[in-house]
Amino acid sequence: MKLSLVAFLAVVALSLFLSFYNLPYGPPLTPPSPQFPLGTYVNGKNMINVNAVAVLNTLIFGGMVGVIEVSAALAYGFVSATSGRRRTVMVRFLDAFNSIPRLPFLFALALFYGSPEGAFLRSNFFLTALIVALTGWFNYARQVSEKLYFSYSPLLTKIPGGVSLYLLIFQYLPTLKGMGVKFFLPAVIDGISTYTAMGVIAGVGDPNFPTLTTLLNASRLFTYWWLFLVPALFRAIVIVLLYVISDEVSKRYA
Amino acid sequence: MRPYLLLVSLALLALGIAFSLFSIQTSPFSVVGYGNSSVATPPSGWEYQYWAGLSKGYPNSTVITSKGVTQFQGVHPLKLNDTELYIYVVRGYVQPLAYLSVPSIFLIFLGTALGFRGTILLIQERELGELSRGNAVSSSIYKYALKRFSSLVISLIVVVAVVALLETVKEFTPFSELLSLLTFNMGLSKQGLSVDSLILTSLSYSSFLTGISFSPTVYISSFLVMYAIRKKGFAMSLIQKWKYIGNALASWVIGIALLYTFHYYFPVFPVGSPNGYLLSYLVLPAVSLFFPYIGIFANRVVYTVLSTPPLVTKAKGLSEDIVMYRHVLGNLMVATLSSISSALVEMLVAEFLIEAIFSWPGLGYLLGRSVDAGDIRVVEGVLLIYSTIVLVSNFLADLVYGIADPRVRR
Repeated sequence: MKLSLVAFLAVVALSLFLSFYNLPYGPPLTPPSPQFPLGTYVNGKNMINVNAVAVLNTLIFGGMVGVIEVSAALAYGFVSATSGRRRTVMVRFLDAFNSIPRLPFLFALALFYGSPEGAFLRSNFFLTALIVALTGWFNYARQVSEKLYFSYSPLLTKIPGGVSLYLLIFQYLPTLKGMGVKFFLPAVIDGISTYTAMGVIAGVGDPNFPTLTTLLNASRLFTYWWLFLVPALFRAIVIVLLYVISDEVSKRYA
Repeated sequence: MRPYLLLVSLALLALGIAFSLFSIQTSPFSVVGYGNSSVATPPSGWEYQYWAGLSKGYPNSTVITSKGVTQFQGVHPLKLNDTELYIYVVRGYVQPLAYLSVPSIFLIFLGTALGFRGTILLIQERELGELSRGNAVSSSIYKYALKRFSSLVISLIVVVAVVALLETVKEFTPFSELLSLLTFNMGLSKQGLSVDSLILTSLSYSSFLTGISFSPTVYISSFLVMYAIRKKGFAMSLIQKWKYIGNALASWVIGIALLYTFHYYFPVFPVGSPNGYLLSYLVLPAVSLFFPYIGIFANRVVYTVLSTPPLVTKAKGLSEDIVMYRHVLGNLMVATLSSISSALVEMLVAEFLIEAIFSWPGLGYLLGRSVDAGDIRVVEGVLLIYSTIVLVSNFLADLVYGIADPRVRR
């Protein structure tokens, strides 16, 4: 866990630094060489910088989705767990939303605000993060609701006049905190994976915020291996590190 | 009975793949109409043929008048110089048996689900003989089926309601749209072709790819899991680590890598719409799907096995073999009931990506092209058909496992 966390933080720190500090440009599409270790992009930009920005944008997207999904899940789960009857009704809604196939639904929603360009769908980075998050929190909310409901202390039922909201929050706070931490990284991975799927299938993306998926998609237009291999490698590193950390966190808060 | 279950599953699978193979067959087709007017209009009902638009291109038109012959791309009304007699011919390729794609995907899923069940049962019987037979207390199959069916209906209503809502927001007429949705009539696409025919013709290719990639994934995963359980050590560790590799090097990353290597650099395999030897077009998409999912599915099954508390096995006072093959694997059937359905869902999503990468003319490729063209009707159609496939498959899996294993009904 410690090693993965250190490696992940190193990737983030390096990406952050290289997204501001520009290495020398070169002729467009130069293959890797001692001068340009990862080659250059279509605009001549050093691939190290291009990938650093893409890693950061990928993590920003995942982070936004993670925060929204976890907040929505905790809030909904908390409200639903406050009474048995309320929970029965609210959980049915979650089940119903869960039965909607996410990807086609996301595409239908993206068509409302995005502009189809024939070969891809230009859609705002932040709005896409929002719709991805709003269609992905149901499963987490169900788990939060179940965990909270069954951790309700029998002592509280003996309080005359019912339990105040303050007392409920106080009782549930440690569980809520634990579940928030446990679900955050899976939600981040979920956000990145879903955006990837949208990008690969229909080229959904925002040219102002290129992610690793955008780079991989764009690489399909050319036959230069470094345009594909480098972002694929970065993506693999980021996702594996996130998975390993997430699994460790889940074990700790199981 | 156990070997027969496996044979039945293989028969269903073969039938499903055969159906999908029939459904992708194309043949030249033309629709002819005539009239006497200053505008030549296409023959009525041409839109509802199963045009192989994605795989063979959209139909073209020929208008014949006494003054000559006019040919053009696409199908639309053509203004003539005078009022005169004309013959309007719409020509293209159709997939006459495209409707077989619907039963084919269900047969493939059923065959795979039964295959998974049959494989585990066969191994149980080989290891334990008569001891593998369960004596679980069952409940009514009718009540169980009714419960599952009502769940299917409710989920379908939710999906239809969502699609109807999307249609209403897009300012279509809500009531007639809802009626169309309930009859699975999605209207016409932006290209003028019926959305239903577009979906059925592309579903044929998706079914075929599913049959080739999904079933071997599940079968081989089952054997891998059994092997890992028996040998433990490296095999078990490999399966557990494969999850990370499978997720990081997802099917689409492998797909792009294969595209680069075996299509661009070493032009060994063709990609795109099959034109000629079908199998050569299938290799790259099938391998891309197969490699990561075999690990992901096997890992999921292993997780279920490993999550059985060791204390329970000790408390029973039985030998490790009996506990593992009879009790743990027996419970595995109940626990993995939802896994097989979600494996199909995940495989279909991965197929969408792979189809987009290799331009395989399936549902995912259709979805991508429709999104890029802003054709929301087709997107909604895919949403509806995809949900129906998933929900009906879930229902079928529940039902079949309920019949095969009484424990599931409790």
